[in-house]
Amino acid sequence: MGGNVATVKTSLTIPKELLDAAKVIAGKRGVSGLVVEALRREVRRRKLLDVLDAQLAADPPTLEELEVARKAVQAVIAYTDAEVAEALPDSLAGPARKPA
Amino acid sequence: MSPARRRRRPGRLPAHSGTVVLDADGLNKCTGNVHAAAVLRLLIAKGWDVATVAPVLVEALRGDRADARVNRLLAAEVEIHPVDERAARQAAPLRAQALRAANPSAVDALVATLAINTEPSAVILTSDPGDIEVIVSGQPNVNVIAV
Repeated sequence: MGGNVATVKTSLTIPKELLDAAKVIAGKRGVSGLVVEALRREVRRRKLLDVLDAQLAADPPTLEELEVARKAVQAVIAYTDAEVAEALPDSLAGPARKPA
Repeated sequence: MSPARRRRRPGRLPAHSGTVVLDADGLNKCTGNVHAAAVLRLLIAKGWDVATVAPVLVEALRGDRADARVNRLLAAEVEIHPVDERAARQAAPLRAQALRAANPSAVDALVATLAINTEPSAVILTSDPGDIEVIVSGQPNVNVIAV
C-alpha cells in the first residue's frame, strides 16, 4: 500500500468514547490514519471472504470436511463452536454434500 | 443450524487476531481444496489477515491460465511482502539450523521468517508442514496447520 493515493475529506459519525480512545492510541492527528487502516483491513477481509465463499459454494465441503477444518483451526487458536458456526457462509447452511 | 444463529452482522468487525501466512502449497490448496479453503475461511472470519512473501509466487504460479484461481485470491488483497536483504539475512541462520534436522528450502525459510516477525501471532498453512515446523519450533507466536 502507499504511493500516490487520491484522498477525499469526509465526515464520519463516531461514538465519542471511541474517538477518545482512538486519540489515545494514535494521537489527535493520527485518528484518520487509524480509521483508514481499520477500513482497509475490513475491505480486504471481505474481499477474501467473497472469493472463498464463491469457491466453497461451487464445491461445497462435506460435513466431515467442515469438521476436520474446524478441528484444525481450534487446535491452534481459541475459537468456540458457536463462533465457528457463525463464521460459516450462508451457502453452507443447506444440506452438505455427502462424502465420496 | 438455525437461521437466527447464522444471521449476518455486517456492522460487527472482528478484532485483528493475527496473520495467516501461505506458502506455495498453502496458496494453491486454498484455491483448489475444500479443506484448505474452509480453514482459511474460518481464520479470516475470525479477523486474521492473509499474507505471503513474494518468492512464494515463483513456486505457486506457472504463467498460464492455470494461475487464474491463485490470481483471484491474490487480487483479493493478500498482502505480498517483498524480500529484502534484511529478511534474507534473518532467514539464512534459521534455515541453516533447520538443515540439521530437515530439508527446508530458502522459500520455506522466508515464509517462516515472515511468520516469526508477525505480531501478535501467525498461522502458516502448508501441505508439507515438516520442514517449516522445524524452523518455527520454539516460536510461541507461530503455529502450523497442514492443509
